[in-house]
Amino acid sequence: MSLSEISEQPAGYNFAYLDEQTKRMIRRAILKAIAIPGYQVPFASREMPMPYGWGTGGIQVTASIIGPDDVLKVIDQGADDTTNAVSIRNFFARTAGVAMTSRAEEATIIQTRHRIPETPLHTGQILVYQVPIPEPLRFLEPRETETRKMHALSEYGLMHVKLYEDIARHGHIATTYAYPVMVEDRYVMDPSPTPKFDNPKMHMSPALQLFGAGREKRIYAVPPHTKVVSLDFEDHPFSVQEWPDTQCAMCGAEGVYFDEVLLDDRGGRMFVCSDTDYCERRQAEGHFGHLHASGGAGAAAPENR
Amino acid sequence: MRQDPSPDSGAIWPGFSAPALQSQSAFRTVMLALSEPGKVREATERVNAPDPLNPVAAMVLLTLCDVDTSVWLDAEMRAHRELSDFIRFHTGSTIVESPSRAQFAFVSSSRRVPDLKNFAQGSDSYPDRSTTLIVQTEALTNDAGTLLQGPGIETSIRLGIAPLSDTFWDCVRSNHRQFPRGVDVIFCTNTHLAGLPRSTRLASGA
Repeated sequence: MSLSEISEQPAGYNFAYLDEQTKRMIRRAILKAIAIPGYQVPFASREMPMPYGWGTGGIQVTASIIGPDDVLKVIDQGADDTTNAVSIRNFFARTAGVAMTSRAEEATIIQTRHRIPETPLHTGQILVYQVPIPEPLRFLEPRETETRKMHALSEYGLMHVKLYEDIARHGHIATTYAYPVMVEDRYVMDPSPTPKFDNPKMHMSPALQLFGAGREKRIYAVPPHTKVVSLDFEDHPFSVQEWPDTQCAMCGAEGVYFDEVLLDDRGGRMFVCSDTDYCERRQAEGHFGHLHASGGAGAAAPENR
Repeated sequence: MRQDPSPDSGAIWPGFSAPALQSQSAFRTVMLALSEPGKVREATERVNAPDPLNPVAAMVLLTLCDVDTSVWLDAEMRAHRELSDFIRFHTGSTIVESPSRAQFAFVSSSRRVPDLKNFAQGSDSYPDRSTTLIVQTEALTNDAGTLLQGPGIETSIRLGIAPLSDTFWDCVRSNHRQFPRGVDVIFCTNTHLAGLPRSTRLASGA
């Protein structure tokens, strides 16, 4: 994109919306976050033209790193076409004029709400997470002064007690999302409310992972090739969700993260890939599930997919 | 076409010509340098600045420093009035006397890197309240040098820095030992840069 094209953007806005001083402040926080993997760096989060809870942290991080040559992908629970993803994409199309894609491997920056794409990421890509509550210990200890001390001392007994109580009550660790991880043997980190299914993808990922929490005013990061280990016990090792004998109704994929879609009020349901890009690509390659229009099952395609 | 002022004109040297786009591109280079430590990469948004600040160190200065930051200059840099004027004009940063109060510290030559302990180390609770050093050097290479490991490095990487003060790698060792406290270093030649965050350790056993 040329300078003249950029100047055609809405008057009164800097490139990528944020003013330069704000970007510098966020950029300094990002560098500290990268230097101290898993540590939550406080930053002076700004009011954004959308409410807290709509990814204002992720948007501020993206706005501070994005350039005219970037290709942006935005996903919300794995989907490229849901409200949050669409509105954020429109925001950056208007304020930065960058190219958009839904294909995970084509994107240089992927802003995500609560999923990591099924397609493996590669070196040079940046994954930006929208984080509601960055502090993994917050629901166990509401005082910031105390949780900060726990991180300083690397004192995470409380978290292990929480996981143990899961076992005592349910017979297994019942935490299924926002499953706490240990980064580089030092900081316990909240991977944002991604399903624990995605936790193993964070470990030694070739992509840079940045986390932005707008309301809570924290930025943290996991550099590429960094140890990210889900907390567990020797006799209750970490495991991800499995759906035995289940295939995506649209593309027939197995071993991916599924959304359950209710089809009627008589208990009818189907499972589809939560990652729409992955699912559509498989269909384009000729893989069909039992409910796909060309799959011969004759069922109508479900809504919103 | 922009021109750099002649040395004695008293005029301030220009900064970025397109600040929003150039500082973005410059920041991405710096961010990659720290997220993939040791890897030498070219800096494309170089800025000519008064001696002894080299074009890449000037790029880092204009990208990261502003009225909210404090900057420390080593004796060689402080001796150049034009340079402090340049920094004050473009960034508005406070130039501090004590390295332990600096958020950014500029070192004119890797031959004379001060003991890293002199700078702000951050605290156990706030390890981010530490100094980032920008150290100018003549040559950086990944073909030879000290073997590094840590977050951001797939297996290990060699980083050669020339010239280099004798005690530097010892300082890096003790800097890493107090992780998460510690300083981060960005090495800048006239064209290239490489990052050395506190998370990086020497492969020879820290």
